[in-house]
Amino acid sequence: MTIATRSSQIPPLKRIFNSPKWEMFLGSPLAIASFVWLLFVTFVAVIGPIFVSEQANHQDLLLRFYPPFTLDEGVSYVLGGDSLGRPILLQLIVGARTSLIIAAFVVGMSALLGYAIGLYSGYFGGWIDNILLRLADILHTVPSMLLALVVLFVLDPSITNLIVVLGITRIPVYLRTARAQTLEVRERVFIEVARAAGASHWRIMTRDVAPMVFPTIRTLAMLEVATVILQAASLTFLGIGLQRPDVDWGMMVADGREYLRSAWFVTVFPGIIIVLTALAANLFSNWLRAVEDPAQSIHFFSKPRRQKAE
Amino acid sequence: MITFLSRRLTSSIITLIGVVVMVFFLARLTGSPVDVFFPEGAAPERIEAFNRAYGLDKPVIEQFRIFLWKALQGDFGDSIWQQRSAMAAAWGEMPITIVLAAIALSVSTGMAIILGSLAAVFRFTVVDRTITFFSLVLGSMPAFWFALVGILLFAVHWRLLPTSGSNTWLAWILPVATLCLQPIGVLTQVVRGAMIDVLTSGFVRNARARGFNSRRLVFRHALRNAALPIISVAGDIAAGMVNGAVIVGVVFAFPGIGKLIVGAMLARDFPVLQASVVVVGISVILLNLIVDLIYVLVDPRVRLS
Repeated sequence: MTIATRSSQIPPLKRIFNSPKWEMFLGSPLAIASFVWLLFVTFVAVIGPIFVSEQANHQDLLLRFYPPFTLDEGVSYVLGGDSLGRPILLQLIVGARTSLIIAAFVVGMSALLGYAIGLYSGYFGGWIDNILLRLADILHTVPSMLLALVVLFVLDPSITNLIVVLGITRIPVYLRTARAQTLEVRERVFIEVARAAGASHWRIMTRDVAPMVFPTIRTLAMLEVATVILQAASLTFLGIGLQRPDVDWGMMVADGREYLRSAWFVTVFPGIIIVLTALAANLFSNWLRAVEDPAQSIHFFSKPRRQKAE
Repeated sequence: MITFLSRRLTSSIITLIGVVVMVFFLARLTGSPVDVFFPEGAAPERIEAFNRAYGLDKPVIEQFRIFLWKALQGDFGDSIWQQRSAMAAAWGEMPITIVLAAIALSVSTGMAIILGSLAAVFRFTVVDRTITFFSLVLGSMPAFWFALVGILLFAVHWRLLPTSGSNTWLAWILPVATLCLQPIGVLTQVVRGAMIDVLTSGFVRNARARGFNSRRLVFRHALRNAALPIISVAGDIAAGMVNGAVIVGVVFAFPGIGKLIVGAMLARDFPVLQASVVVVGISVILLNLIVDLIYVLVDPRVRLS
């Protein structure tokens, strides 16, 4: 009986809870806190807008810059009202969906494309590899935000365009990593064996090389989530990429900018949510990396190794 | 060594040409400067004359041919809004951005080396955890929001610093801090990782066993060996400064290439946009070459391979 069949007989949930990873997770308060926060934000982003999207865009000029931390106008105004009297709390909930959709699709798209292209480029090499690498270099040389700024200025503001453009600027990160790893894996003996056994290049690339490269790409994608959240927010803050009634957290910060002196909370609250979410994504992905690849970990989550007395 | 550099140089030039081509066509797609420059219902003759003066009446391919030919001679045309050549406008804004980026780069590298070394020396202790957490928080903060909160606290609330401008040294504090945010977050982790690698290596243990002074060991010998990973990310971080310059230009109205690019984009001042992107491209490429050179100088092993 092989290991694979044995472990598949254990129910999956039990397998997770019995794994050393789960124990390490329980031993790290920061990992738990960041995971819970990410779960909470995702839950709110999925469920929340169904109930509150109409109220969120309800303008009430009497409640313009309504001060936060009072319950007189109901729970929805607990974080105050913005420049058009919209409830900030509900705007944050609707914005969560936009921000998370952008982050998820950008990371997914760039990781998938970078992974596939990097595999192909590294495995087959040749002039296609040269051109692809050159293109990645160009994308890498131009500061990503500058590129996104210019391109998005051309296109109509829409979530799809924002996702596509940001996604393209993030591809080189994965492409280079996937390519470098493929180059290394390609030279190993078991690939030669597979060749000798008569496997096609396509089969070797997808069945033998790809699974070896995948874990690195997955780790990288996790680390990229925070970066993408920040970059998307920067673009929408600059007024590029989105248009009302669409709203995300970066746009909310921009809305409050003009009223910084009179109504600080319009700017401050969405920013705090961005920081918390990016921080949680950073912490959690660093924890994952520490667990999966101890050699590269930042040792942040591992317990101090105390030497025993005597 | 020379073949290595010349190869890097040719690939850089190809990159630069690619960037120029991309920006040229993208800029044309945004619409015509006519929409911004003239009020609605302006006399057609005047618009025609304007188009002829800036070569906008010719087909795009023809425009591109002329642009490329002139650009090779260093002529990027005249700015549509400012009464000077586009290249002069772009170069005119560069010094202040370079000074700003240089200050931010030195401050953040200095901070990162101190914090990262401390974390590495006291690894796995409270000091290490605090520093690592702090650097992650800095790395998770959006620069534009940090800038606004900075204005809110230091300019509006405590009235210590001005909200915008660049005339007094006080006005530089917030922009520099905004630019330092991300680099400190990233670099501290890099320094820490590199220093731990060196401090746990054989030669350090050997030196310590022979009774070497600890502080001298860390800052003289270990840090020099940890310099390589730090230098290798310096190029990326310097390129990121351009993103920061855009934010600083918008939030603090701080002069420089960032403000110029955003302004040129909104005004559809194509010549200035093209010239500034080329100037930024050249700067980033030059910087990467310098980083490569330093890398070779610091690490003799690279020279051999």
